[in-house]
Amino acid sequence: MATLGHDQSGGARLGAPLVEVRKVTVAYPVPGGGGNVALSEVSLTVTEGEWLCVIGHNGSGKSTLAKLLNGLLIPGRGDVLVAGLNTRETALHRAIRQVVGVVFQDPEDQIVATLVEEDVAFGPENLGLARDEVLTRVQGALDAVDAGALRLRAPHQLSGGQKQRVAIAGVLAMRPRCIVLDESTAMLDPEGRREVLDVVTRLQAGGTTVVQVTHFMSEAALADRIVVLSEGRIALDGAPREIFGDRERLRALDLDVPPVAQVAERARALGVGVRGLPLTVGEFVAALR
Amino acid sequence: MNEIIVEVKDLWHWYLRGTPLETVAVQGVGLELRSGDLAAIMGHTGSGKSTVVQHLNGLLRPHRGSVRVFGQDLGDRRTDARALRRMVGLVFQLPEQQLFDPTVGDDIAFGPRQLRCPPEEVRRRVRTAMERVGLGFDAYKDRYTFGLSGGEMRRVALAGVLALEPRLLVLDEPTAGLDPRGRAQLLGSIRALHAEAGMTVVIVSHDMDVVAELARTVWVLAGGRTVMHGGVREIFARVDELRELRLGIPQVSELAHELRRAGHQVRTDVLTANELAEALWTNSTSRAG
Repeated sequence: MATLGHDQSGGARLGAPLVEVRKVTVAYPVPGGGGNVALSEVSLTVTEGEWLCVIGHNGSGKSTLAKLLNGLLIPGRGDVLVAGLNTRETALHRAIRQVVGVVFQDPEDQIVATLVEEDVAFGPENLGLARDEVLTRVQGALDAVDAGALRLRAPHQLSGGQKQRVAIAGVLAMRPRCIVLDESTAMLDPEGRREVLDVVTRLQAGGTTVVQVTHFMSEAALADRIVVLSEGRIALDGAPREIFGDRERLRALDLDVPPVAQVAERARALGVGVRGLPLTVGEFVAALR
Repeated sequence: MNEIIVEVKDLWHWYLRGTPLETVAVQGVGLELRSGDLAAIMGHTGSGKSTVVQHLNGLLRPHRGSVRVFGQDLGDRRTDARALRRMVGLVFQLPEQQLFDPTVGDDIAFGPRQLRCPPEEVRRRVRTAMERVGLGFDAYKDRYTFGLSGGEMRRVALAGVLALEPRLLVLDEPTAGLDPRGRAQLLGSIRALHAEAGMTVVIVSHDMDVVAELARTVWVLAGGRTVMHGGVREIFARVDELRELRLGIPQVSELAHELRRAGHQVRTDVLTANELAEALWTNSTSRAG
């Protein structure tokens, strides 16, 4: 894949905090008065270079959290710092959105132009970059999502997976250090999901921080770290193996382990020798005695 | 054998027919549904499945070939599609986006009121429909529609279709975007509609796990044609063909196939984690013996 070259002004340091969510509370107004609390005193640090998955039921606060990460939503209480910049400062939003880019569930919601290359160029053009620099970024971003051949196509002619990859390219053209995917594979068919996951895997290997909100436990199993939200609070936070190993807590949260781990669990209950806690097909094959 | 209620023969349909942008969406699809079926139509994005489904209640008319639903010929211009729509309930993708009434009960009552049912009949239909989808009438009828969770809103939308008391229910991507709990509840409702209310149900999906969990018979479309048809177990055992059609297979089937490839003599026509665990147990005991 093409090297994306993160914006070096902030300097990408693997392992350092990139986004800090500090005791954040968000409440949405409800007709008839009162407020519906979406997040309650949530603190979370996203580390540079990690692949973090956020899981939880609808209404647990996942999408609210995603929107906080680049200032699309400003917390009622608490602060969100992106590379040290507080999202409360409207004047910093431009800088913040160059650090963290968000991709939503429905690619139709975020494609603005009539040609793929124009759509991907929209962000960098708005930064006022020189034409050559815009073209370089567009090419780099499309190559990164394996969509170079789609450059002159109209977005409405693309498949769901292709559209979502173009939407990701639009975010990558801003050269963010962190990309947030808010259920970006939910509407896609199996091939589209695989395409997007392949892109995410490559980006993360290239040093981009990934925050992925998902309902698919099999996707969460691939991440470095999982945060489980429940009723606006962080219920669990750890490596996939720790999270999926805590069966009781998961059951209490009405969540399940990935299908592969379910097979392992049931096979073991029948007395079949399966070592450890396999989370992927490959791990299961290796774990079967 | 139960009576045939849907018979599609050599169906062809073009979009933008007669213009330079004419594209063929469906070219020779055949399928048959019998009363009491719990069937799935699956296919990759662009396979023609949504186009076929829109013929089932006369939203589209065949350009070539024939579509007969409950004995009515959709190719005949004199066929009253509106009457057919009362017998065939079509639940679109993301149907919660079509909810419009602030009160749950009134939203569901919209259809029966349009049919000029008397008030007590409207009430009976709304109550029955809500109970069928697991939304208690008294608990939910006066709730604010747009304050519900995503899974609840989807069940309200389904209840709105059920209140028309259709004989055939067609659901396009019924679980897309739902969280694990919402998904399990909706699948439970669909299963109960089939088993207890005797509804004939067709789901259209590219989520192989949903198809494996729910359907008994499967029709696979590709490139606007019917390419596979059979029992769900038989279809998912044909893994190479499905991969070639870029459809993928349920995770549990994939695991069974990989185990077999690694030399384990397990059945590959399994659909659930329990079945695969049992197959592994059978294999381990036969080796031991």
